[in-house]
Amino acid sequence: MPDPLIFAMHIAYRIGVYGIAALSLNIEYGYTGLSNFGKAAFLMIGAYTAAIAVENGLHPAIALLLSIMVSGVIGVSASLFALKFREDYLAITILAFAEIARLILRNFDDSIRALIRFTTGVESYINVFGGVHGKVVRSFVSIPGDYRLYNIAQLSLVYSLLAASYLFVKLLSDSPYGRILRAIREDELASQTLGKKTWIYKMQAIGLGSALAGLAGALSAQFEGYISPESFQPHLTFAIWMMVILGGVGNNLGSLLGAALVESIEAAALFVKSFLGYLPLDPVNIQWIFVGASIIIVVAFKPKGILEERPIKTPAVEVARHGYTRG
Amino acid sequence: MHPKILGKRSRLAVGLAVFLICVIVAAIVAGIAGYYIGHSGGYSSGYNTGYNEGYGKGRSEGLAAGAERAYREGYSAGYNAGYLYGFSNGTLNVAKALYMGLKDRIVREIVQVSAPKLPSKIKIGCLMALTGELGPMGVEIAKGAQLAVALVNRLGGVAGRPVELILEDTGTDPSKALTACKKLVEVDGVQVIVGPMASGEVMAIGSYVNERKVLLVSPSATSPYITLNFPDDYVFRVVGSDTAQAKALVKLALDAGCRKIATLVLDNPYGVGIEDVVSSIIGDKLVVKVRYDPKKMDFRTELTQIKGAGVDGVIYVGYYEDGRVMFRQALELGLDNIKWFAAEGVYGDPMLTVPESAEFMNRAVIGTRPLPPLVSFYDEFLKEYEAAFGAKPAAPYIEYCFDATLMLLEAIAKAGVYDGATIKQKLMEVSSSFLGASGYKAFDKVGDQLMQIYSAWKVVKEAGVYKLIDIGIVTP
Amino acid sequence: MLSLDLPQIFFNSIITGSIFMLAAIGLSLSYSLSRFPNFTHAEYITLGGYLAYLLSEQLGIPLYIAFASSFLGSGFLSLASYIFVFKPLQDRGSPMIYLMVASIGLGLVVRHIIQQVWGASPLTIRVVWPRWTLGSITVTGLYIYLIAVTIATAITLHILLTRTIIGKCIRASSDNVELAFSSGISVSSISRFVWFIGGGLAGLSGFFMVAIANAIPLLGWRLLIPAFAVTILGGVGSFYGALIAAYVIGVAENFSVIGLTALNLPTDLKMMVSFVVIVLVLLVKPEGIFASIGGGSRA
Repeated sequence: MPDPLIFAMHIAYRIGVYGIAALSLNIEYGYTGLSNFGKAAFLMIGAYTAAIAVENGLHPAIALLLSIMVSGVIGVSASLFALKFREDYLAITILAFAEIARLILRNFDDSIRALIRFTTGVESYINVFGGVHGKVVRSFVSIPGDYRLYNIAQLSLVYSLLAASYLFVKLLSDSPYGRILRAIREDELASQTLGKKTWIYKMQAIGLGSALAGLAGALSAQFEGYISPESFQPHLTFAIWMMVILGGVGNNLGSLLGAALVESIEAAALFVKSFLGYLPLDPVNIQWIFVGASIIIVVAFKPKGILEERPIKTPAVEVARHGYTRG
Repeated sequence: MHPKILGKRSRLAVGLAVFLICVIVAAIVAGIAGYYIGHSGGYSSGYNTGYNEGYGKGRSEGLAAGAERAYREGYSAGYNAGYLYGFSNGTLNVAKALYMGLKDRIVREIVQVSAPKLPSKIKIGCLMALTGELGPMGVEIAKGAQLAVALVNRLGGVAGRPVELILEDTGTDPSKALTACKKLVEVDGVQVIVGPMASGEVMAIGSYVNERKVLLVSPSATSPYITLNFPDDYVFRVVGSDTAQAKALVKLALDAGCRKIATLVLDNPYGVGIEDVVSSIIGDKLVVKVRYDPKKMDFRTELTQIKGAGVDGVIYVGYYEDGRVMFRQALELGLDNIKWFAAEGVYGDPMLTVPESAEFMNRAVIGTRPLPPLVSFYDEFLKEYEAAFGAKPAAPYIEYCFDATLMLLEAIAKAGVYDGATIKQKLMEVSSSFLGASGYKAFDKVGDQLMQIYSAWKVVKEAGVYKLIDIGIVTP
Repeated sequence: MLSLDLPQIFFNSIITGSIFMLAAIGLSLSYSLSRFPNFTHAEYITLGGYLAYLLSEQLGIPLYIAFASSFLGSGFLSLASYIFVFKPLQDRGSPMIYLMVASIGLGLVVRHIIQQVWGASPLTIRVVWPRWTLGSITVTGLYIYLIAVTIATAITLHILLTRTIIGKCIRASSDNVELAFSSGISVSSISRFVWFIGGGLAGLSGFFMVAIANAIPLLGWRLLIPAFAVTILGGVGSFYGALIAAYVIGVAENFSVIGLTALNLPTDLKMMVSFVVIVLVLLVKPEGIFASIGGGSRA
């Protein structure tokens, strides 16, 4: 029987997943000022790690953990060289890296087979990543018989992880650690003068951001049930950037808001057709023109986004602000 | 002798010398003995090991060979028996169907059925790629569904009730396909869906439609992986898996005498699927494998490579947009002295709008497409199509989409209730006697086509105008 | 074993390189003058291509007029985007990344307007060009046209940059904006000029791309990545660097196809060439390999 609630839950799930992804970008760019234009690749790494893990019999919890760790590690290692770059060169480099990673993953199995054939002449049947055909992913939650309950379980999974991520990021930001990240964003030279080894913090920021992105990728993969390299193109990275900028750079709640906004606009486009049906306008085009224009407007008039960055709230700063009012 | 000559020391020396000599001799003897013992021991141990391993291997290989022969013989015996049975039944069904005629069938089996429990409006969902990489093709294929629905409505509707086609765009994006599918099922309440086009999209929504027991019939998803991942359930296809088409293409190539073959395919499940099958059939006759991205639009170096490899045949899988560019550039580079064998992606009038592309196809290309031209209602479908849209069908698979929709509507009529599981049962029944615009549409156990025949086509030039014609049938 | 038709492949590389050059010059110059990578540049290319289609197919106007319209149309689009979007943002003090993101947003808008007007289906220009064979190379009139235009552009720009006052101003601004400004150069006028010309050239590359293949909304993106590679390899703001880098990358892409087909790998991996070039150059010599040859900004 048709159940509109299930469709709503599907959208809600996507909002949850992209909320985590947006939070991850917020750590990197919002707090630390690192322009990570390769987000899609880390979502991809998380998704494929999870898929391969459950395919080989690992427990879903372990698969999730693996996704987080693998993405984090790859994020850190891929960032090592880029830490000294100016923001635009960093952006372009990471974008290039993400596309290279995607192309490699897409052609990996065939390449290995080709190399083996080239050197030894043997025909092998390696199929790890699925190549262009993609991979079917088994979901982590299993509630046969009651589809609604299954969806509710999935939603609880993603939203509890979202809440945990949010709390984690909030704790991080409202702390001396967060202060350092922001200091690096504002003036890296000054932070270095004050004795902070900025490259360690930057590396950690990218590592955390990538780990969270991997989590988002894994959750998305196991819910939608199918992944392919085509879903992880720069287009996805740009969408997540839109979410962070729209919602508010440096504001975690803003990132969630941005995710909700962008996803809702996309879902709404499905229904707008029935109203616009008689106009010769394709809702897909309208949707993206709208998003693009919003970005320009936000960047022009409200660059801090809808929800501005809140001032830091660590004990030391509070004291400096309000003095010793509380005992 | 003076007893003092052999003093204590000398005795010691002599004793030592004798001792040493004994040791050396003993060592030599031991060594020689050891050698022979070891040799024979090694020999017998080696022999034993060899014997055991040989025995084991011989036994298992013998078992395998024996089993394989038994399988082959059993298979061919079974196949022959099954074939005879199917053939005689099939002929009977086809005769029945032909006798009925397409519109008569619709009226008798769909319109004039009594089904009180059906809702007052019959909804049928359609998931097509209307934008994105496959957008242009999807827009055309959707017309097949639209035509079928319009026809049924014109003749009276399903059990007298009007049919509504709800069309959603998948954007050639599996993720978007899933969202659109959920909207169709949960919000619009459809229980049957025609589409999606691309194999990747089908795989994305396969588990969902199985879970929700919604019937899905794809007119064009040809990847063998669909059968592997979703057997025996709610995913059906009215077109043969590409394994068969690949075999047909290889047959054409080998029959034409090609001995060095190249594959030139799209880098997506459609192209790569065919490449894999071709590769597994002709093995070392395949000297060059090229996969290309249709968006790249500049294939001259790839074509130069093929030319340089000295092949005499190219198996090509592409779509219209890249196909036109490919053929135009191939003509430029002089590849028209090689024989080209193309899959149905480049079959269609749009290929002829670019003069160089048409010229190249005229000179060098023979293709296959799934369609038995002799036993089907294609002509009637063509008449209806031209009346409705004022042009000839401009893409492959439109008639498949048409048939898929008709079969689903008939299954709904026969099921009497608008429920996916019931409709699915009826769909299997309907298919065993359904003869549509694309031929005989029986499904096998896993929802694939029971048999798929291909027709070969080429481009001819009549009075300065290029035309596509069919030149025969290829059975893979 | 595969035999190599080197002359043909070199010729292909020249074609590819010429298109890359036309696409990349504008990007390189605007990047150095306005200090941000402009992702909307892709749409200048796309618009040029679609204008070519519009005039020659839909309106039946001869191709050389379509050629001019591609240049002008894209030039004006580029100029407009500078005047109405990027300059105001710069004046407000937007950081570089925001300008970049805004250019992505603007690109979305332009691309989807194009898609709304012409549809998402690939469109082809049906002009038939005369064809000659020189040895083992096939040459069509279109390729001669392209090479002629490229040479003319290179010469014109060279003369412009070295012999005219505007050219000197451009080189000065691209070298050190603040100094140029304080020397009395009207940087915003120079910028307007550069953006217009750069956009126009991009439009020409789109024109040729559509003539050779077909027009799709993502036409510009296909050329944008190599254009970035050319910009970075040649040094941001360096015209001569871009000139050389364009052909280097053209050769690299075409030769990579040889390697890929020999190894039975899909040839769309040739895109990786551009990405790898970008990463390597930025790691080893961010100012660009050819930056020392005239022009080049202090990054």
